[in-house]
Amino acid sequence: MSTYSLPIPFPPLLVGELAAREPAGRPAAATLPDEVLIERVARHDADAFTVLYRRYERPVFAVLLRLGGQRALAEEWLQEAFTRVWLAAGSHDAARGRVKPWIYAIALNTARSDLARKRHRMPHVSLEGASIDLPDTNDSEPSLSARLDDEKQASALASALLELPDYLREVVVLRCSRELSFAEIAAATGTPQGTLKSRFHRAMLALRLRLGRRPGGGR
Amino acid sequence: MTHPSPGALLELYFGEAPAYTREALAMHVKECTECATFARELRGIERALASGPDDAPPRDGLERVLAQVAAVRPARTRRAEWLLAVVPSGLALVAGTWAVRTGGERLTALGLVPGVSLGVVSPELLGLSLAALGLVVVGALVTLALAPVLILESHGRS
Repeated sequence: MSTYSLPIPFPPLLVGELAAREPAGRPAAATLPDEVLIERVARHDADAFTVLYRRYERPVFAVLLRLGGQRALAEEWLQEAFTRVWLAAGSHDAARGRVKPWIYAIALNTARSDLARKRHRMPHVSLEGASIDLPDTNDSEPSLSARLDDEKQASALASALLELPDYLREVVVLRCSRELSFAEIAAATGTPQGTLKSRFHRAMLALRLRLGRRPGGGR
Repeated sequence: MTHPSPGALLELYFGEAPAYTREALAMHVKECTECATFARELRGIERALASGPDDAPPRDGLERVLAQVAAVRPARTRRAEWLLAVVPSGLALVAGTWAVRTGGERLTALGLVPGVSLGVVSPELLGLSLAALGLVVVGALVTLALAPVLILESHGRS
């Protein structure tokens, strides 16, 4: 008796069949570029997804950890982000951009949505375009780097980073991760490069302020 | 002294400055205390971010993602299954309606069902047609209801 079957693979198959199993003559998935992998993921290829996940889990997790400041939160976001990558793989349009910024965009949106949900009742004060009490140039002030000589100070800076508005922290964390160029961050966030660099600079000024430098100092 | 813009210094620091400006920018930073400080601050921020919490992602991260995908997909595929079940059911309904109508006309033409002419349906033929149509509808509904179960069963076997 023939059974009624659909051309839709069921996920339970994925969990048990993660071992690498490339047919002879087919290039190993680990060496394939992201664009090929995402096409395979769109066709529900669990091996391709595994390679893509292993390729990006660490850098994406590091970024999420620095955006959220809590490991549990970052783990939750990582899981949600890669679930979305799997489910949305078919909608990735290679003509509109590369896979890496696309993955980061998903991770970033996951974090943003969650943060927005958690803060939805809190008043939001936008610093963008508004006047912000940031320091002006003054060579006589001690530089930020002068207070970053030891690990304690670096830790203080990391804490200060967490207090920055999300849109300022994002660009600093993303660029300092050394995983994405400004162009790729622009692609991931939909923000022009010039704006991103300006935000980065504003973040630096805000950090000086938060670390105790009185207004009037800094570049 | 004219300083490069913060954007240009950021590009230089992160290795994104265009080749034609790189050398001049680097030379400026070397000679300008203020711009050198800017670069040192960038290094400080990078170091602060690098010396943050443990970057190792969860060991069972992939398994968790796949489990979540497995939990999400059935809900989505179920919709597709319903759509796939609706199409044959709809076709069966249309075909059944056509068969009943045509059959009735044939019966009338053969004189097996009395009192029927074009456009007028006798009570007997109407009753017969409705009964047949009812059977088709019931068949379609049963197919529709059983389709997801059959699909799931077939996948369970594969």
